[in-house]
Amino acid sequence: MVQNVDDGAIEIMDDEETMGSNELDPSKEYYSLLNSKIGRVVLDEAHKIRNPQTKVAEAVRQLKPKGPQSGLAEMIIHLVTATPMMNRGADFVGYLSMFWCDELDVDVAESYGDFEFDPYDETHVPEHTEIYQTGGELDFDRYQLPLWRLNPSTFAAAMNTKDAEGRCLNAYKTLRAVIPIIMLRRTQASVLEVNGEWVRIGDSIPPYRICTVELKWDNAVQFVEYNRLFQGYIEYLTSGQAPSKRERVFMVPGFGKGKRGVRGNAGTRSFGIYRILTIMTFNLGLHTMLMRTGRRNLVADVHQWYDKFADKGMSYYFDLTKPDRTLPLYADRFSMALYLCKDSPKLKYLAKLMGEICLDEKNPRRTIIFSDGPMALWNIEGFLSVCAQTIVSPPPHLLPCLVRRVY
Amino acid sequence: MTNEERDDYWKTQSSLSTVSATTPTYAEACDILGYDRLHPTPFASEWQKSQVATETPDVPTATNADDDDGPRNQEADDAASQVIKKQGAEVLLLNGWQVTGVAWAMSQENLPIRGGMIADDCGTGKTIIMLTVILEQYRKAQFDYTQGAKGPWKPTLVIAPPHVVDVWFQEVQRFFSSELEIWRFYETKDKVTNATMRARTLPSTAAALVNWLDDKCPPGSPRSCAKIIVTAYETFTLRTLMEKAGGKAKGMSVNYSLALDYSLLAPPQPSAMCSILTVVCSESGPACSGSECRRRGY
Repeated sequence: MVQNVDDGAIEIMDDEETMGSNELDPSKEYYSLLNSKIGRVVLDEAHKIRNPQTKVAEAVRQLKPKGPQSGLAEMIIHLVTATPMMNRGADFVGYLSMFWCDELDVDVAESYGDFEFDPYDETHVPEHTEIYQTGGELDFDRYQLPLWRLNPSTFAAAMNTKDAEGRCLNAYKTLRAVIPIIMLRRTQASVLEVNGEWVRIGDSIPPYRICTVELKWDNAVQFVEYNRLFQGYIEYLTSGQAPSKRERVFMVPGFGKGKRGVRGNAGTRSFGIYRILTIMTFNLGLHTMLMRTGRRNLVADVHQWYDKFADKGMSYYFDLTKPDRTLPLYADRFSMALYLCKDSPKLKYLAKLMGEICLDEKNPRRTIIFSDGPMALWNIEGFLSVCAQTIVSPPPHLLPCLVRRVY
Repeated sequence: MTNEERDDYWKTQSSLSTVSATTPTYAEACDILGYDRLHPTPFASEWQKSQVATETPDVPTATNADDDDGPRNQEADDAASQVIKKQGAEVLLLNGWQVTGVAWAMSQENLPIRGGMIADDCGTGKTIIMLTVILEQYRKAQFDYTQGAKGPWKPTLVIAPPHVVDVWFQEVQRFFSSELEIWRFYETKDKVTNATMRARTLPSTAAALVNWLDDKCPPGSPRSCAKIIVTAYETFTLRTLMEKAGGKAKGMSVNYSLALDYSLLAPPQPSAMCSILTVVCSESGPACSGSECRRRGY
């Protein structure tokens, strides 16, 4: 099956899903034509081979020269990854199986006993001054690394055992015993001495910052309006019943069209409710707009809005949300931008942030904005273009939401 | 970023505990690799030339490996390694932790396990570390060759996710092209538009690759060490891993029943065996309870 793969089909993008379906068939025997042709293998993003029983891992192992070995293995393997343990410590079994050869093993009973050391006792960590000679070679006579700890079977067994009180502390100890032998990890906060000065790694590379900003409603009017809407929708979410017709001020998708919306799609299962809640939390004006159009915010609709007017449809937004029907359109960008973000603390914050980042005189930078849902995206894009910022957005046919028709 | 935010950032970063191998110190690493401590670079002579050429003081010259005001901020790629641009030629200056990383990785190659894992944070230049290791080992092989060693010397294979394959290619072409050669075992020649890449794209079948290796990478020549073949995980697996036709199930090369026993990781539950024992014991007397059985390991 693998031999008959057509050349054209070979450039498949591999991702996590295809790797998962890539399991080894234990009833088959595999081999590689490249066996013993390669001297060194570097596996970038090596967490891809954390499961040893995949074809990918087998393809790498099959490169190792077969037959009796004396002393050192002939193929060198380097694993490079920034996320060595993606899910659990047992991911290490996959890495260890890359390095392991049976010659390294010692009596298993002996090795089990040795795992019972105090994890905070640092004596098992080799002191670099002792093991490195000036010539750059390891001095094995002075310090013998406990390489038997790298046996994947022993490792997996030790990870699984529990101490007398049923805790999984052994896994912790085992990892601390194995990692110093094979893994080098420096984080941004690591320091090292360079020419007499202590240097923090993160200071030398541009830092990234992840922060969550909590925004509040600007004034009581917004707060009251938001609460009113929220309570209305929450009732529907919890009971699955729409408010009675007299009280119904909200348009709930699926309602008023027979029983279609209620059956199997009511209450917490109603996707439309979540969508509306998201949109009105983003911008109360968008909610007003949605109600006044009387349409569900289908993707196709939103993409028509882009083309309604030259300002990416923001005039359309103005027309539908203006408090007074006779109000004329603002003539300048500034008033228009003020109007657009008047009901949305998020847009206001965004404007401030973009001003700091993109209009910085010394170091202007570009920004990528991710947003969920085409309506919010449309709003952001229109708002920023009213603010006279240059925006490049992906063509609509590339939007996954359009492809999948989720929104 | 305000000072408070910065402090918070570093607090979070340093609270992430790390267990790691110990490396030689920076000074030791420089001695091992034979690098200048002020300007650690594998290309010392090129560095000297670029320094002589840039006598004018206003051209930024990196004075230290950790100099923040060096010619950084050029591009995101340059962030972790300083790049001196002079007359089209780029000379790579390593950072301190990269030098120790290279020394550590080279010492790992001498261990019986032959290799190790580099798990540095994103953006700290792991690719540069690995390429420098390959370069240094190639130079070592050349030196051994002049001393009469006979090899065998074999090329290096880099397996990466598809979107990183071209990153490796470009990194080698940019900094290491004077000594290392990179070849792509990815895509087919007729699908590559870039002329440089097309010239460096290998035939797409394993058999053709073996022929190429036999032809171009003889084990007796240290130049084989300078060749890097870069490929993607899935592509490599599909192209090279074969099933033995009609082969009897002799088992895989790895046969750990890895399926970790998750029941062991769950909180202790009285098993079926335990409950039966409890029933039996409870007739003989109240002393032996279920928890007693559990403690004894039934």
